[in-house]
Amino acid sequence: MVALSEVFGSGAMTNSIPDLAEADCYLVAGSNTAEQHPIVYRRIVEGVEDGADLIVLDPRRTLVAELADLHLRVRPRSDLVVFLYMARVILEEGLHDEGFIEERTTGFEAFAEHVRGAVSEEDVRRIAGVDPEDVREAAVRYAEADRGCIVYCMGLTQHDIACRTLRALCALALLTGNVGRPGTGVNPLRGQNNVQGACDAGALATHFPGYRRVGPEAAEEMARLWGFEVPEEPGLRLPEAFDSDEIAAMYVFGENPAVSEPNSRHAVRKLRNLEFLVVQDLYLTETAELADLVLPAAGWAERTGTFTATDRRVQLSERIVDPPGEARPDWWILEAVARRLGLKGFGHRSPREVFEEIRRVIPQYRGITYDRLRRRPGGIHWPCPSEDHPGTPILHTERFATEDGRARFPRPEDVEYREPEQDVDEEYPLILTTGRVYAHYHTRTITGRSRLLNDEVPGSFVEIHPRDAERYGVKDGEEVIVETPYGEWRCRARVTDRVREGVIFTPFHFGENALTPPDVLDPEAGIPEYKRVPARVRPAPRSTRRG
Amino acid sequence: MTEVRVGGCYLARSTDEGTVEEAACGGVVTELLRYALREDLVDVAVCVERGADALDGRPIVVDDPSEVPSGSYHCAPVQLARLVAELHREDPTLRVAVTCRPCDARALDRLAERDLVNPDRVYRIGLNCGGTFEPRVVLEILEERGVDPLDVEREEVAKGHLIIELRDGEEIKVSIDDLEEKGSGRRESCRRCDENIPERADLACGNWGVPDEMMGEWTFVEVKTEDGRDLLAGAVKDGAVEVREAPEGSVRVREKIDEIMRKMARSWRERTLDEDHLAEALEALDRCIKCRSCRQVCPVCASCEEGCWAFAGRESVTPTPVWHAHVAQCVALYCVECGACETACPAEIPLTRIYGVLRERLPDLLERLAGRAEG
Repeated sequence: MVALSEVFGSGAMTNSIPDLAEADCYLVAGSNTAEQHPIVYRRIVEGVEDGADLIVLDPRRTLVAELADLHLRVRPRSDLVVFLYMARVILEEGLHDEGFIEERTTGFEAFAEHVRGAVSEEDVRRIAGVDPEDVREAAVRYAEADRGCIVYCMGLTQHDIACRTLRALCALALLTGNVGRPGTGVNPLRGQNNVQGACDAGALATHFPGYRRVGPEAAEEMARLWGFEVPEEPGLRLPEAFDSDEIAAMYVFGENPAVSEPNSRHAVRKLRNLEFLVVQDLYLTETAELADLVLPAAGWAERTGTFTATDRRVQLSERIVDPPGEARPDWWILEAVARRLGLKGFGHRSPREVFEEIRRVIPQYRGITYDRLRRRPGGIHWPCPSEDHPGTPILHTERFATEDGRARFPRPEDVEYREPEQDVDEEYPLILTTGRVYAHYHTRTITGRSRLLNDEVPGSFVEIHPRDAERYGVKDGEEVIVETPYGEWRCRARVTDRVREGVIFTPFHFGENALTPPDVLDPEAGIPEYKRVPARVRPAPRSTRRG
Repeated sequence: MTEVRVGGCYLARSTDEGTVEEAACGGVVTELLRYALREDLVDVAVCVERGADALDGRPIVVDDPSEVPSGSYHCAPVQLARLVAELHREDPTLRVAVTCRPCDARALDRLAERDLVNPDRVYRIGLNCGGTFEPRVVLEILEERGVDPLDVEREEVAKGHLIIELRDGEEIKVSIDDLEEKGSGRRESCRRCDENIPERADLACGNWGVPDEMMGEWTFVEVKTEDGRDLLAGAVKDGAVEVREAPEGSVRVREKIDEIMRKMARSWRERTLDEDHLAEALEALDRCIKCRSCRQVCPVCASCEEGCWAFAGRESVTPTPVWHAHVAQCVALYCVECGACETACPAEIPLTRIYGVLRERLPDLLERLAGRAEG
């Protein structure tokens, strides 16, 4: 989001899901689209069936990688090098779109000069572990396409150099003029049905609603809108909060940090040491079990509200049944708590009133109303500045959302590759990367309660390449111990060439965050490093557990 | 007074002016459900009510006659048979009246064969059906014309047209043939369906054959069974419904429309259920991501406890090929061609085509195999 906002002026998917089908070339990076975003995947398949090229960057051979014309099986956290090399190829081959660059961007010269010397073929081989010729082909195919479409996900963002990587990725779209038309753009896929909406509404430590960066000027504007004082300094980002001694109380809802935070042992210790922990959830999650107070929340069918999907599509979802027992909608509980605390700015009596405030405060939502949403079952894409505005499925068609309307090529120092703080070595020779599996959501709060889904993927596993398996004495189906400098984890081995040699993969649903570092973050976005951790694997000692 | 007989055809309407005004054509179906509940002939009625807008239908179970909704839902392809099975799983003695299109009636039969529905406890109020539309198709039609779905008063299919009546009295009339020439129109499985008048219902109700001057205010009702006769005759005696013998001309017009529709369906069937289309459809199976939606919405399959998921394999987002083979041959035996699976599939796999070809070709194939065994 940080990088995208910086380059384009807006940190969201540039295009809408349906128009993705119109691309001539897809560059899918760090996204297991078939398993995690099946609706987007369907549009990609539609495009591929119509003859579009498909290039996939992933250390694993996922389903979408199997469909690819070109699968760049990169090492985790090396995507930046690949993108910089692609940019270099595009410039060398003269495939950049001069008209677009001239009319709609700034900063091209410096970027171009930097890129020409930034990354060598040798870097591509050494860091990314792929053939530079393949990267060259990817660059040419993407640049030559009339409509080149970039789709990415957490494979790029859950790294300590995520912002740099994404800037370089955005630059590829700018170089080739692939923004602002159907079937083009730079499209981050958000994992849940309302992650986009939560970010829009300012559920971020660094931004007020509507992506106003926290600072004196924005604070003044917000104070004017809200009628009370707001802080001028950004808050702590989540991993920072878990690291801070100043934090004595937490109010957690819609989140299960005991399992989802990097290095769960560290996170649980923090949760236990809090003076006061409130958890508001549908279920008694691992975090809720540590809470002083649990407030039962209503589920989606039991409340009214809007969801903003990954493609900025705001949709109204109306209550069908009443919540059971004492459960109440989240907004209702928050109002009740705020009232007892005597907080200013609350006092909404319905989801509609909450939405009216959202409209008033977030400029992108200004023209969206409950009445309009009822008339548009397909929703309305923000930005929608006025009630007679149809919404904006495709961003940046004529101007970018920056102050001067031009996209900004990243500055050279902002796309420099940095070696990881902790690299693989003799002690930890493998790279651990984590991700989701199709049958589960993050911490299995919901999916773990479904018998069918549990049967599909009942427990944790580690994917390991046959050569690595042989090297470390690991046999398919047997129990192993995975170790990193941060912790250890016992699970079953899946010996498969779906992962590249030197890389192992575990899901992050079952508690595998025991293995991830608590303190390796992207300095700009604050996102933890979940996807590249030095590791080793050994067969588990014979189980001493009974029967 | 007109005598109601099994096999007889009638023009009927509700005696309640309000119901006639608000219902699709004469309000007979609404009135029969209300009558059955009021007179304690059934415990519940299973039918469709208006959802978020006039194009959205929601299956409901009602036990209060005053709550029986009215309206027609060509754009909300919901299946009611399963709901009956769910009710009978709780209480097999529950007496139910259900509105059913031909595919609902076929599904009820399949479920009854498996003892999942108790057929002796079900009144089937049949609805003629020339096909349904995906909501998306109709939304596109409205969008092209800049019409809000909330401004739709009701919709109707008559004389080869989808008619959308707006609140301000205006009408949007679209030729279904035109739509289908453009690759839109009715759902794929509906286009192939050659049962328009539900043969396996107690009563078959619709607007085909209603003389022009009575259109919209009267329902054409054919009495299929003794149960159907008793229900209709009872409602007439009660004064809830008035009937008159359908004139010869009406009966002929209805037969003619049915014949034309069936002929069209058969020709579409021949065109789409061939081996080229099958090859294409089978290729689409590669897109399956094992979301299970197809099986979960299948009116027949959903209640089955055979556990075919065991064949699907675990720990892989794509199912094993043997699972597709297993489902296809199982479904081919009992498929009622309602198309619910295809509507639900997020990967847009033309499932009904696969099942359709298998269904058509399976007997032939088996015969060939048998011939070989004998020879």
